[in-house]
Order: sequence, then structure tokens, then C-alpha cells
Amino acid sequence: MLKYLRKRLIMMVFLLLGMTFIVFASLYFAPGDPAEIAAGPSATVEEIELMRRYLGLDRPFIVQYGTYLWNLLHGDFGTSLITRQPILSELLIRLPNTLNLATSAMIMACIIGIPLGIIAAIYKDTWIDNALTTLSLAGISIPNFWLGTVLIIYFCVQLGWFPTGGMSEFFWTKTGFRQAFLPALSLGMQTAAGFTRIGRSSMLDVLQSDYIRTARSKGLKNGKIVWVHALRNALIPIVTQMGTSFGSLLGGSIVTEQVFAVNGIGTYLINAINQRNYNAVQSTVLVIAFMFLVVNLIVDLLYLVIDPRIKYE
Amino acid sequence: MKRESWIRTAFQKLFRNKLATFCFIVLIIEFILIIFADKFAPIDPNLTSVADRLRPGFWAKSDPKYLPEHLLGTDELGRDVWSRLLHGGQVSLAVGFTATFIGLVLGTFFGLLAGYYKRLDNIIMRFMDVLFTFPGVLLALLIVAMLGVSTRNATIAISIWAIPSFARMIRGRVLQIKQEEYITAIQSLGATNFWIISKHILINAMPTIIVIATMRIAGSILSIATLSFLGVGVPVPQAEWGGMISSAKTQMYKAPQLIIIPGIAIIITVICFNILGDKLRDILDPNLKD
Repeated sequence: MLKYLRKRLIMMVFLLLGMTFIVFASLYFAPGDPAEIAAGPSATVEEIELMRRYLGLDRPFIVQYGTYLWNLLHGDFGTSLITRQPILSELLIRLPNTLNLATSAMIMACIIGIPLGIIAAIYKDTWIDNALTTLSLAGISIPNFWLGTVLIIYFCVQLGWFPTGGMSEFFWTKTGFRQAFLPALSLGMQTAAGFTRIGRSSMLDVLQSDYIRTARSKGLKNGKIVWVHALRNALIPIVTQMGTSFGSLLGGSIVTEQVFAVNGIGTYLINAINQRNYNAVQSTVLVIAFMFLVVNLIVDLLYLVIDPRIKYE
Repeated sequence: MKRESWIRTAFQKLFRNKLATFCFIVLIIEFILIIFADKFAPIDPNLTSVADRLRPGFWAKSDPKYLPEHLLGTDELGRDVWSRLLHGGQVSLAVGFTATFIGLVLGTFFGLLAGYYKRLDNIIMRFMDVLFTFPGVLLALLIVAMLGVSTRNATIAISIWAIPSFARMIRGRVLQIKQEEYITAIQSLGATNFWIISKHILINAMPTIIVIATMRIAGSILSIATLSFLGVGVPVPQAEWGGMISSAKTQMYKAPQLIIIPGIAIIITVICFNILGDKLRDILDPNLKD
């Protein structure tokens, strides 16, 4: 266990290094001059040169990358080229909204996706199964920005049930729930469809195993077999999927935030790209990717709780 | 196994499935409409007309604002929606296919190398792992931020985004094929590595490649629509399905059809590719996971 944890952590450090390198290098070699942007539109050539020296952009690549890493290790994500504020604090203000959105979407996906997958498995090869399988394919195929917009048109504009956008509170409060419901639904739909597909196939696998046959021959009721004995094992592949899914939800929230006017790090990233605010793009991408890595590590450790048979070598 | 025979058998099996056949026909009709968009929608997709703003489509024939030459009505700048839909489809499909193709070629290349040469395996797959740490559209956004907003750059971004998943799946398949006895037999006969990879491993990995390519096209079409919706894909005023939805957002109270119509086009295309991919997988490579 400890050996595995150590291996995982070393791997994570390696991935982090690779990640920072890609992010740094991609924007280092990008056309366009950060010094020019930071100096402002009316700057003279001398002022731009001064700004370049001030920002350290005149030094060699490897030195700049080293400094960048060193600063990151000290929690210094740089300053925004536009607002001159520390990027980390700008991100931290917006992070709760993004996490709120991604988490509520994950809960939504679990509530909708997992039971449907299990139902499809129970009624294998009936019309229910066929309908659910086709429905899950449809769920994967609907672009979440379109679903979000259509939900706004119907539920907010025509019925007036939910606010059309914005996010000010966490989803467990009353206002927060109303604000997060539609964004979570539109963001979580694809993930829910994925859970249905995986849940169905893993439940089918488990239902064919020997211990389930034993349980049946003991005369246990079908409901108890499925929901008590089989579910725990059928959940393992879904938990694996949750790790990657949370990542795609963080990625997808970039889009959903635009639809529902949520001031999260996705909106911040899109603005940074449009303003060619390189530092901010770097840091935001890094923060999202880092969260993704951490979630995957947590998921790996969660296996131990769900399935104590797994021993990490 | 002869090469033509397995493709023919696969298609025969595919067309025995009603849903798959239906999707195939829908896609063919859609392709014909889109490829010959100039014939089916002769109005210039970028022609604006202040007098003809927000005209309704055929569903409101009794409405005095309805003009028969605009089958699906007009958008907020008076442009013909039907024409923008077909011409926008050209961009969506072109980007979808091109990006998938580039990603497929490079991903297959890396996957073959990693699966066949043990020494390269670690370095290639660890690099792919690093690319995997950028979830969802994030990698594509980073590349667009680096290269700037244009259709070409969006295509590059989506291609690169596709590489790691292709490489991972192809590598898995290559590792399986390498275990087979006939590969050892050919090796002992003195065949060169290039010969074995190109003549035996690649051919045997073909079913897997076809399945994941079909599904990836769906993903690529969704991706270009998403990037355009975010304003970092196909630049305006060029018509593209995601971009059409984005620019119609301001009209969502007055003219929701401007959002619904391109969305339906995306969904139909993506669903058909996904269903075809799903059925092809059942036929060609049942062990492949999503």
C-alpha cells in the first residue's frame, strides 16, 4: 500500500513537471508578444523593451522555465498582464463557482446515470434495455452548450422556474440549488450517459459471477441480490470512471459557465485567451489540470474502501 | 483472412441491423445535401438583409412575415438559415474528418511504435499520459491560445487532442497481436520489423482503428462546434453549427429556432456516427471498451 502510494506520488510529480513544461513551452513559443500586451496599446518601443526586461522575458527559455517553476512552488502564479493582480487570487475568487458547478453536475450524473444503467442490466435485451441504451447514446451526442441554452429557453424564459444564469451560493442552499440545477443538468448529461453505459455492462458482468449464482440458489430475492450484493462490485468501474469524468466536468464547465453566465475559472480562461493574457491562460490551465490529477489520485485511493481485495503492488 | 472479405462481412452484418442502416442512410442524405450545398441552398450564406431580419420558417406559413424563399427563416442579420445550415455543415464535417484523420494517423503511428518496441513504450506512453492530464476541451483551448483563432488552428487543436486516446487504444491492440504465434513465426523467418508492423500488425489492428475512428468523428464534430461556440473555433462570419448557436444566443427570447435548428443538425450527425461506431464495435472488436 505504502509502496503503491509512493509510486503514485512519484508518477504525479512527473506528470506535473510534464504538464508545466507543455503549458509553459506552448505559450513561450506562441506568436504575439506578452511585453507588448503588458505595456499597453500606446507604449513606445523603449517602453516595451523595458517591460520585457522587467518581466524577465529577455532571458533564455530554460532560465525562464526554471524561474516559473520556482515561483509556482512558492505559490506565485504570476500577475495578470491585464489587471496587474496576482492570478492566484483572481482564480481563488472564481474557483468555488467552478467546483460548485462540477460537483453538482457529478451528483446529477450519479443520480440519473447509475440507476438507469442498473435497470438496463436487470431488464437485459428487453425494450427497456434497448430504449435506455439508445437514450444513453443520445445523451453522449448532445452538445452541453446547446442543451443548456435550450433548458434556459424552456425552463427559465417560458416557465420561469429557474434564474437564467449567475451563481452566488453553493448548491446545498435553497437559492444555490435553483441556480445550480439547470447548469448541473446540462453539464452532467454526457457523464450520466457514460455512467449508464458502464453501469449496465459492469452490472451484467457481476450478475454472471459465481457468488451471485450462489445467492440465487440460496433463494434470495432478486431485488436484494442486485441492490445489495451485486451493486458494490458493479460500482468499481463506475468509480474509476468518476475520476476521469470529474476532469471532463471541469473541462466542460468552461463551456457551461459561458452559457449560464457563471463567473468561474472557465469564464476567466476564455477571457484570458481572447485578451491574449498569456500568464493567466498558463495558470488557469495548470490549476484545472492539477485538480484533475488530485481527483484521480483520490479515486485510486477510494478503491481501497470500496474493494478491500485490491492490493496495490 | 482476405482483406475485402472482412470489410464486406462487416457491412453485411451492419446492414442487418435496422438502426445502423437507418443512421447510414441519414448520413448519406446529409452528406449529399451538404456537399452540394450550393445547389440545394443557392442563397449566399453570408448575404445580410436588414429588411429580412428574423423571418420565421416553414412552420409559420400563415405568418405574414414568412417568405417562401427562406425555408428555415432568417437570422438576426437577415441571413438565410437553411443556407447557413448547409454551408456551415461543410465546415463542421470538413474539420471533423480532417482532425480525425490527422489524429488517427499520428495516434496510430505512436500506438504502433509504443506497442511494438518495448524501449519506446515507456517514453511515448508517459508523454501521452501528460497530454491526458488536460481534461476535455482544455488541451484544445491551450493550443488555440497558442496558435491564435482560425479554422486551421482549431483543426490542429482537435487533431492533437485526439492523438493520446488513439495511441492508447492502438497500443493495447498491438500488444495483443504481438502475442500471437504467427508474429513469432514471421519474426523467426527473418522478416524486418517494418514489414511485420506494416503488413501484419497494422492490417490486424484495422478493425479497431475503424471503430475508434468512427466514434472519434462524432467527437471531433462536437469539439469544433464547442470551440466555435466559445468564440475560439471557426471565426465569424463563416457559418458553422456551433458558431450559429453562439450568435443566436442574443435572440433566444425572440427566435429560439435559431438555436434549436443547428443544434438538431449537430445531434443528428453525432448520434448517427456514435450508433454506427457502437454497432461496428459489436461486429469488429467486441472487446474494445469506450
